[in-house]
This record gives sequence, structure tokens and C-alpha cells, in this order.
Amino acid sequence: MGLLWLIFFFYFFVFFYFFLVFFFVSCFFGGGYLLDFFLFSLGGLDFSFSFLFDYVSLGFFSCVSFISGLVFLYSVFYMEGTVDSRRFIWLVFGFVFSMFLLVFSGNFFLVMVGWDGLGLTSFCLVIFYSNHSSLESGLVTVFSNRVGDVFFLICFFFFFMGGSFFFDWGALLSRVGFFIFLFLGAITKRAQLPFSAWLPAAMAAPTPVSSLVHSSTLVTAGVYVLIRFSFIFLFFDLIVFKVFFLLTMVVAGASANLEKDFKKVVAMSTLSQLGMMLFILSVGVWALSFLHIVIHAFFKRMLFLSTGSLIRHLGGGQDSRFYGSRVFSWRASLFFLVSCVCLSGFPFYIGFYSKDFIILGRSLGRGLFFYFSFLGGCLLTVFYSFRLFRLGYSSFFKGYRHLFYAETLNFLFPTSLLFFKG
Amino acid sequence: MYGVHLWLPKAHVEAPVSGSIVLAGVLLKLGVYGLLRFRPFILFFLREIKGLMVSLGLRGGLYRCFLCLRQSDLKSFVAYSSVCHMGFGLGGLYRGLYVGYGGRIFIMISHGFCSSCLFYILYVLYERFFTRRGLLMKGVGYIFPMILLVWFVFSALNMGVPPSLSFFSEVSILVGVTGMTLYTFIFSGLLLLFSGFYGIFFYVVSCHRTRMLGGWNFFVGPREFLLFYGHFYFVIFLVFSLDFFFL
Repeated sequence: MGLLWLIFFFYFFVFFYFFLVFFFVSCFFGGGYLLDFFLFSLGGLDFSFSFLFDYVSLGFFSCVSFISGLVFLYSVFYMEGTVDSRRFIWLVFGFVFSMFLLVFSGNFFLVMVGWDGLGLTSFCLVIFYSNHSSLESGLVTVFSNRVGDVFFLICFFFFFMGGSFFFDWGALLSRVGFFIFLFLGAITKRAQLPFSAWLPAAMAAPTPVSSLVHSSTLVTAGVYVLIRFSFIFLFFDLIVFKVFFLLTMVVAGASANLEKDFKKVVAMSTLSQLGMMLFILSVGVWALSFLHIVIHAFFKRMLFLSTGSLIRHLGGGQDSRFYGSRVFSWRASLFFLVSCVCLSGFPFYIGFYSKDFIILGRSLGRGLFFYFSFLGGCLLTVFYSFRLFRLGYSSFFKGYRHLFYAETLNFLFPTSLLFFKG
Repeated sequence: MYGVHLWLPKAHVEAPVSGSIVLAGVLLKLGVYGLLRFRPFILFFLREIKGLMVSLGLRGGLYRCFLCLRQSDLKSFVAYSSVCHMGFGLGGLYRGLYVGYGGRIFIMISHGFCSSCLFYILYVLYERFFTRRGLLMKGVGYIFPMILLVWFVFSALNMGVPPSLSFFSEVSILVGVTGMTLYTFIFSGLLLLFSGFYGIFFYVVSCHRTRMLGGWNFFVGPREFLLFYGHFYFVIFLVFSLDFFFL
């Protein structure tokens, strides 16, 4: 029964993916579409929900739907034997749906719908294993997301002063206050430095969810909103934010090199990648940042899937001091190795193309401090990605193994699809 | 209103379910209705009383939020949360903008449905477990998965999650209030923040963790779900016909 639902969701999302790619091509040549659902008007202002279909949103959501379809299939592999697997599936579905609303949002109300939906469903998913530690990390997650929500709600005031809730009117406003609140809201969801505590804490979620959160949905939601408002960075070229992003990148890379919890290392790697993307965005090239989001989604997803299989293989523990599985299957280790290599930007893998562009073009000409700290962040990326591989797959398992399992097709199929993407 | 609100949690705790539903859904709104009716007088004296009333509403609402986080009796929790919402709406009304006035109407309606349904959920659980303590009701969600869903939805609606009426009310009051001074800017932001916190807290304190309590009659029938759905319908779908209030 549950399996049937899963297959249904999987095919739903994959068909959706192809549909979106088709639509994407047509929008790329023909512009975009804006659908506006009028609700009511109050105080001389129209309150409406509007959907925006252009090549940015379609391209991004085709990536998201592809990945989330694979997540549904993978969660058969990962969640089998769990009590509430049906609740889990519906929560993941709600999560992807609110991501859909966020990506296709044309005005700020729909952004808030997707934004709050993402926060609440991620909270439900983090506390899915209902024990004390997951409750703690879930509360950290949802409270910091709520802080971001309040910042976004305050943005409504500036929209109201501007006269409309559509995106483009933000340019007419171009107030410092609007910029600061939008920005603070986005970086709470993006888990940048002052608000970065929740991202490693959210690792208490089941692995399919944390992969979905990290690769394509929750953390990239913040950058997606900032990409939509990327014209704002042209008005406010503040150096403080760039320093924050670079600091996030370097600090997260350094702590990924020292962390013991295996899944938290992966989370820290996501954090440093996010810092990099936002740095590119703040420099002013949103297209490169967008490219890196999509590519990063694919290989980070693969990294998480193989991490999940490793965790499953080693009996559910996440302490990397006991890790090591040289005798574990060659396929999982191959997938893991390829995604690590992509993460570090090895030539001719998919991570190379975006990262190389970024390193070449964007860090020069902004001062030596930015250049060297950016390169240092990238170097730390290489270090921790190979540390991950050494931790996971280099030696024999040091703990007591009480669980044997075989890789099923439900694991192999999604991961190998992503492998060929890489 | 903050300062003269002390009777409300006491009355809610002692009242039967229909009493507290009527109290939350109708009686609290009577005072608001009076204020809305006397809006011309309010506008006449606005310059004298604006600062006092807005700060009373916002700051009182914020302090009730803090108090909400310390409640163990869930019924008085809902009562304090309604004091908090009413305070926020009061600030929106006395700001004097038309947006705040509309938001006051919205928050009146949405809060009437939300909090009365929360009282009803508490009654359904009280019928089964004979307690309203949050500590004793841990793990309710594993006995009633559907109650878990309804509880989550309504505590989310109570904190103002978007496609609902309460979201629009919060936005329009916030838009009305924030422009006044920096003080209202900060305090309304804090109020929204902490109302989100206690919404989450309300869900977590009772539905998380493993089950602690046994009871009898674990059946939740169609009567309950009809009532839940009736509340839910108005909170969600009234958004599409809000022009009705401003003809």
C-alpha cells in the first residue's frame, strides 16, 4: 500500500519534471507568464496570490521535482520498518509542495505561503523521530525559521509603502530598511553566519529529508528569493555582507574538518557552499549563483543518498569515529567518491564547471582579502570532502554490527541516475 | 485588553466547553464590535489616545506571549493567546489607518474560529484523558494521529500561517502599526515572533514524546471532525470573500 503511494508520487514528480523542462524551453524563447489570483483589496491595495512562470523558476523547479521524485523512491529504501512511514510521505509531499509555491511565486504573499510552509513542515520532519534530541534540534530549526518569517513580515510594510506586492516594485522602493529586512530574513533560511546554528541541528531528521533540505529545497529557498531580488544588490553594494558570507564559508569549512558527527560534516559542507553562492550573488552575478545551486543540488543529493546508505549499513550511528567500511559495496563507495570529487570541483566533473567559472571570474578585482579568503574556503572544501571519504570508506568498521542489509533497487536506481548527472 | 484581562483565563478554565467556545468566539468580539462601531469617536480623540492605546495593546500582547510560554494548563494557554491577539488587534485599530481597521475585523473573525476550535480540541482530549495539563498529555499524537494533524493545523493557524485569514489579519495590522514609531516597529516584530514561538510550543508540549497516559474511549468520531472541519473551512476559505466586509 505504502509502496504504491510512493511509486505514484515518484512518477508524478518525474512526469512533472519532463513537463517543466518542456515548458521551460518554450518560456526561454517566448518570455514568461504571470498568473494573478485576486483576493481582496484593502486600503487601496490589492491582496492577491500570483504565480510567475519564467525560465528561472521553471528551470529551478524541474531540478527540484526531479530530485524530490528520487527522494520518494529512496525513502522506500531508507524508511522501511519505520512506524509512521505514511505520515512521513505526506509530510515530504507537503514540503515539496510548499517549495513549489515558493519557486513559482510572483508576489510576496505567495513567497510567504511557501516560506512558512517550508518552515513548519521541516519542523515536523525534524521531530519525526520523536525523542528528546530531535525535539531540541527541531525547536532550534523552527525558531530560527520563525525569526526569518518575522523579518519577511516586516518587509510587507515596505511593500505597502511602495504600493504593490509584486517583486519588481521592490526596485522602486530601494530603501535601506527593506533591503536589510529582506536580507536578514533570507539569510536565516540560508543559515548564514549569525543564524547558522539550525542547519547542523536539523540533521536529526531522517536522511532522505535532510538530503532534500540540504540539496534543493529549504536552504536554497533563501537564495532563490535573493535571486529574485538580485537587483537589490546593485543598489546596496555593502561590504559587510560579503565579509559575512566569506566568513561563513571559511568557518563552516574549518568546522567540517574538525567535526566528529558524520552527517554534520556533510551539513557543514553545505553551509560553506551556501556561503560561496551568496558571496557570488552579492558580487552581483545571479546567473552563476543560480547555476551553482542547480549543480550543487545534484551532487549534494548524491552525497546524502550514499551517506544514508552508509548510516543504514553501519547500524544507524552517526559517530564517525566508529566508521569505516572498506568491505562495503563498491557501488555506494563509487557514488560517494564521485560526489566528493564534484564537491571539491575536480576537472571534468559537473561541479567543476560552475566552480571554475566562479573562481576564475568573480573573486578577482575585489581586493586581496576577498581573493585569498575565497580561495582558502575552496581549499578547505577539498580537504573536508576527502576527509569525508576517508572517514566513511577507508578502514573497517570499528563498532559492533548488528544489522545486515542488502542494497535494494530503490537505493541503486536514484543514486545511479544522479551519478550520470554528475 | 491588557490590564483588565485577568478574568478571562479564570473564566475559561472554569467554564464548560460550550461556555468557553461562546466566550472566545462571541463575547470577546462584542467589545471589539463596540470599538469598531465607535470608530468615528476614536478617530476624533485619536491624537490624545493613540500612543497610550497602541503601546498598551502591543506591549500587553507581548507580555501575554511571555506568560503563554509558562502555562501548564492548556486551556488558560489558549485564553492568554487570545488576550495577546486582541492586544495586537487593538494596536492596529488605534493606529487610525484604514488597513489597521480592516485587520482588526479580520483578526476578530479568524481568532474567533481558531481559538474556539482549539478549545474544542482540548475538550475532546479532556473527554478521553480527564486532564488538561500539557505535561500529562504528552504523546497524544500517537494515540490519535488525526488529532495530531488537527492540532498542528490549528496551532499553526493560531500563529498566522499564510493562506489563512489570520495571516492576512496579521499582515494588515502589522502594516498599519509599524509605520508609527520605531518602538511599534520593534514591539510588533517581537509580538509576532513570540506568538510563533508559543504556537509551536503549544503543539510540542502535548503532541511530542511517547505516550504517558492511558485513557478509555479512543474513538474520535465524525461529530468531532465535522466540528473541526467547520472551523477550518471558515479560517481558510473566508479569504476569498473578504471583499464582503468592505463593500
